[in-house]
Amino acid sequence: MIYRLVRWALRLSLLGFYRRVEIQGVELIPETGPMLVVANHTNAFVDPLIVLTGQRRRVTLTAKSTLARNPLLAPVIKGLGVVLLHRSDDRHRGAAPEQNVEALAACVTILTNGGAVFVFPEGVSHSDPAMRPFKTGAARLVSAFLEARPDRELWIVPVGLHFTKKDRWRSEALALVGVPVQAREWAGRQPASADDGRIDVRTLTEAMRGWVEALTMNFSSEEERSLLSGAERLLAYRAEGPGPLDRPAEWDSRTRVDRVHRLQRGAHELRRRDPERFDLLASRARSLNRQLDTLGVGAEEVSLSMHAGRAALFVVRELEVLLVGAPVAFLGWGVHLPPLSLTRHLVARMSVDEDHTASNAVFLSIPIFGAWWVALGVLGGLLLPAAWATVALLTVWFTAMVHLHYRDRAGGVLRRIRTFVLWFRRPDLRERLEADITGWHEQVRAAEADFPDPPSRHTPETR
Amino acid sequence: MSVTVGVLAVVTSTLAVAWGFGRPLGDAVLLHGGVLALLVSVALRRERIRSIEAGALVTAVVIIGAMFFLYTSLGQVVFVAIPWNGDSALRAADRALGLGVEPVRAVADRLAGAGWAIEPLAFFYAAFIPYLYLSIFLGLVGRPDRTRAVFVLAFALLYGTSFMGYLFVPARGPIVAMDDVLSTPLDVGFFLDVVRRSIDLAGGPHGAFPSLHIGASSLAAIVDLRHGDKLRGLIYVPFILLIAVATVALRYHYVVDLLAGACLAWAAVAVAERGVARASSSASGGST
Repeated sequence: MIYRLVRWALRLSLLGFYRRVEIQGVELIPETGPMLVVANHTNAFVDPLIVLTGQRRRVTLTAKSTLARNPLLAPVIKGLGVVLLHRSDDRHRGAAPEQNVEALAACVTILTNGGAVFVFPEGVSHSDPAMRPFKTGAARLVSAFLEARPDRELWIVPVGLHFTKKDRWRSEALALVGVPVQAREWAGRQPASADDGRIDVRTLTEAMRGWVEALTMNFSSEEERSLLSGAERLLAYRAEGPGPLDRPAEWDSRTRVDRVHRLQRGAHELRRRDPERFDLLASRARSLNRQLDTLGVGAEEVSLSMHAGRAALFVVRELEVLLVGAPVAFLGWGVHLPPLSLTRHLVARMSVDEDHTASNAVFLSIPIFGAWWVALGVLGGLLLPAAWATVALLTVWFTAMVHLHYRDRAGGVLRRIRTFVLWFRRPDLRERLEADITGWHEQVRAAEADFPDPPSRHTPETR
Repeated sequence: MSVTVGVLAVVTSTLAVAWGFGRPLGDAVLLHGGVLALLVSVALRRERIRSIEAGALVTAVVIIGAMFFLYTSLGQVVFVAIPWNGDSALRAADRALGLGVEPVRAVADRLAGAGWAIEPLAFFYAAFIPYLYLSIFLGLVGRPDRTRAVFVLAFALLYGTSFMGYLFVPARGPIVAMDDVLSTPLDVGFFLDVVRRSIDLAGGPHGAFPSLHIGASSLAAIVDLRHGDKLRGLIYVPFILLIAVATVALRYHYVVDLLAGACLAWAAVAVAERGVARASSSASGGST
């Protein structure tokens, strides 16, 4: 009950920060049986919440022991039954790695009882362009479980976590679930485990890293990240233009990840075999991305329809929703301005890096907004009959929800109008950009044809 | 389309039977029969209509047009064709729902000292349906084909089943059936006058069960909330609540009518979703 309540509050808070929180491939997560979830770690305590709150199954989180000292996090950690891991790096902050034996035993017990455990094998949240080396804890947990329960199978579920801009309010968060791997069946196929029947934790750790790598974008440097992310952005350009604003744009992360992996392999091959051609393509990609950034438009917006009828219909449709929704949305904004301002102020003060902005916002929102709603409820109770006070409180919640959706929609409409006006005033610029992007596409396709894609390291067959 | 044809066929044959029993419904049978024939001919050319660019939109307009025709025609004929009246049963259901208290009466007593509230409520009542249909039209134009198909099928199912209620549970609503017990008259201002005159144009108060004001608005909200345009769906919610209060306060509906309208909307969307999913899966199965 407490777990569900905490999970619900966290979900609510998460959806207050991110406008979209999704799990792609949720149907792959086994509904029952022991399960170990392994994921990349880029957004502190927000990372596990995306999986935890986005599906029905109860998942036990693991976290570094020092987090329990945070007065804001301590009740959440208790409510969710988080297993605390003591890192040797945190000795000076009171961590006791010798207690990890108990933590490991606690995780094995959860798995033995058919539960699910969530582990970040990197051990630390970061903003590096690539995943850090995996620590062996997750593999040791698998090994301990398989030894303790030789009769049972354990699912290892790799997850890749993605954010459009992890520290930005109303951006998007997504968990990409990979194909679960049966640990015992995997171990049986490994030569190292054949002699004594035990898993080689290093091999399993590397395998886990490969499974998560296949679901994430990892770059050798910031420069490569900038180049390939930009190239991927250009490849996402579609001639049919941007989608409508009244429903979430398709966010097929699997396709995006695959596209980046293909680009990486292609870029590597091209740089090796035809460096001049690579430099030309890279510099054109950089230049196009710079132009898009300067204009403040996305690649898909270059092909925005300029048809007068469509534009008129867009204006009428959006105007209808925005005008009719305005009173409720502004009421929601006004009522929630004090807690929102306080949360934003505290988040700005407390967040030392981009890794912790979202976590601080999510965890601060719960007590601040909770207290605000309680205060409004008490005020309503003093001024109104109980039934009307309840209606008023429900209305306050409702207006908050409308405000969030309204804000996102209005932002999209303004952006679309701005782009339309820009292309209306500078049709030559639009035509040139469109021609340049499609020309770049053709050059990439030609390079791909000349240097065919070598096989991926992490195709399902290699698992 | 088949739902609309089916509903019109039931209405026309019911009127024909009543005419056979000597009710003065000859003109109504001819008119409904004519519209039915027109609809059948459109249904028979469905494939050809679908092949043109705006075919789906044309089908939607035809279905909505036929439903509107029935909405306005039923009030003129139903009390002539059907020998019983559903008001007493609906009133009893309402009393049971209010645990012995009649909600319409309770609202009327509460509003006795707040006559000022009638005009804003009448404004909502008068303005909401035109707004809803404009909004539905704008939503239909921008929706993906599948969502549009769900909406149109759910719309046809909701109106079809509601018209069955209008036809076989004919009721004029509290404004007529409870006239003797609702002692406080409503203050008739500009908007209430507009509402009353437009209802008189459609044959006077009729079709109390179920409430299509609530049904249609709930349907629009549910489809939007479940199929993408969440903001539009959320915006409908306060309107639905205001309309619910307005219909009871203006004495056009019993509370049980509102509940039936909302439940029918839920059921219509659920059935339409399954229907469209089944149709598309069989279509894709056929093409592979």
